[in-house]
Amino acid sequence: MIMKFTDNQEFKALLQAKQKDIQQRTSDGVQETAQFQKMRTLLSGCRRKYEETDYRLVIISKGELQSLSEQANEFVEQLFKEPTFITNRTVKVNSRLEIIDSNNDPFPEENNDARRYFTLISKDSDLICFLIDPDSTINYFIDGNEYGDGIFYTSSSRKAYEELKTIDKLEEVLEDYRKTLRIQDTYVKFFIPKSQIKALKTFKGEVDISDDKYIQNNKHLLRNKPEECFREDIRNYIKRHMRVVVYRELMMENLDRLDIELLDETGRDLYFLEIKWVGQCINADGNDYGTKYTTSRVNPDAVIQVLGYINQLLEEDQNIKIGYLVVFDARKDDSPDTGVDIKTERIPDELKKHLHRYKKVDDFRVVNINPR
Amino acid sequence: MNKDELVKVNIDIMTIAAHARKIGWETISVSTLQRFIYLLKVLYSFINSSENNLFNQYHFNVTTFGPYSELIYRSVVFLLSTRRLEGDMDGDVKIISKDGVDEMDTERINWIDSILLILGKYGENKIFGFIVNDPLYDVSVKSNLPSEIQVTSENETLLVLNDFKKAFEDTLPDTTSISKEEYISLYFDYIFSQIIKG
Repeated sequence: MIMKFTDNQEFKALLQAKQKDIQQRTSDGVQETAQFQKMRTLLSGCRRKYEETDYRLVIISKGELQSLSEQANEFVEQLFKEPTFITNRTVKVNSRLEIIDSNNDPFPEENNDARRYFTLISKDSDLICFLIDPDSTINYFIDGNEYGDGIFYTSSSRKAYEELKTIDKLEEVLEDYRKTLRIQDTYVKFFIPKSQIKALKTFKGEVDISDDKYIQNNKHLLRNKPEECFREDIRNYIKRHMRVVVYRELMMENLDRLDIELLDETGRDLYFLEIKWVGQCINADGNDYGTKYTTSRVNPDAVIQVLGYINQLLEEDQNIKIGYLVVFDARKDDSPDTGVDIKTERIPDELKKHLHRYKKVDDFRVVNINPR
Repeated sequence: MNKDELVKVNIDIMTIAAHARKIGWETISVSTLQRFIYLLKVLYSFINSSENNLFNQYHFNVTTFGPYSELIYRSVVFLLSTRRLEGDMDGDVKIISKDGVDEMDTERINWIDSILLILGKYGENKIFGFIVNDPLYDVSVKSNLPSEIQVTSENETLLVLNDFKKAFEDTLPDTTSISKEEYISLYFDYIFSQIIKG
């Protein structure tokens, strides 16, 4: 859906709240200059390259920044390797990023005191102060004003984002997701509510059984077409907990669709999840039992399907790493995992060669422990 | 594609690689080159709304990994084979020659610099995030058609950027100090805030 800003009162309120920052950023004669932007990018990039657990304050006068060297990209590398830079918290540099002054005085410990200290330096001496965080975010101080990483986000929100798990931790995230399936707010989304079970009892004419017993016997019934609900729940969890790009139902060249496609944030490595479920759902009208799926749906049919997708993606020259088969198990009784003993004899030979790129996640058991 | 076309693309890529190095990107991935030139073209329509887009020679198709132009691919292959660029195992390239660098008009150089500086703040790794959040790319992906991404004078990205600008004009008492480049920078700032919010 295309974003609309003019109709968005929340966005307009945000603009009003940030009015002063926007005005300063676009008219203070510093922040909009190429030299300032280059300096900020170089400092941040170098901190990513040369890791450090301490903060650094890099000070430069407005005049020196204005005449920042064309070779600043080379000089910044030298600066970060300079022993004086490594051993001092504060360095003052010139336009060639040579250290012209330094000290190792500790910064004030209390956050507000520290901010006041940096602000005063920028105000009293007409200097620009770049405070480099160990995680490479940069706060800066100009003319006694403090600026964060961006206008519309804070350094702390950027830090929180950087701490999200990367795609190589997908299996850890899936195990964390498994724990959420025991939380009532999570699992009730998948099952029909008690009121609907009672209505079913009436439709089926089950008059000889109490409501409570009928609910207990049928609380495992999933909503009609539950696949969408399972897919959205796991997709949203991954989006909230990982630094990845998540596509939904992306179509391949052969017109098949992948349930959930994941790319690492650089857009290089591709993973996908194929979502299945076993158990029983209610029918579309809510007046009878609906589709029932058993292990045979998974083994080997879904395995062959996943291997087929891997094959197709490789044929399309896509950088596919792993295809995961994810099964939500809502069967009434506890049963063995649907992935036990894959029937490899039924897998076509041309697909067997992709088995090393296929992974079956242990079933996500979903039980309607306390129906609502 | 004729020889002149390829020469112009070669010059663009050599200039981008050289200027990217100035902001600390010693190497640049081929995918980033594709994505960056796509953004150069799409965002240019915001600066100059006429049909005469400086980057009209580039035609992009949608792929899962972002926009793809055959012209850029061929140029990179040529520059690698003639040792103007050097490649590594990760698919990143590094400039090892000055041939062609800045052999273009100032407007084109300035535009490359402007977009590099706007994106440089976030780092090369974040560019893909901006691509998948680009309105025109998004519409093209969702259409699931293999056809070319249409950078018309009324493309979706342009519509969104104009709407973004208008929201500023409607809300703030004075927006005269905000240049169009600055609006793009603020727009990316906002999009990044949405990406990290999840």
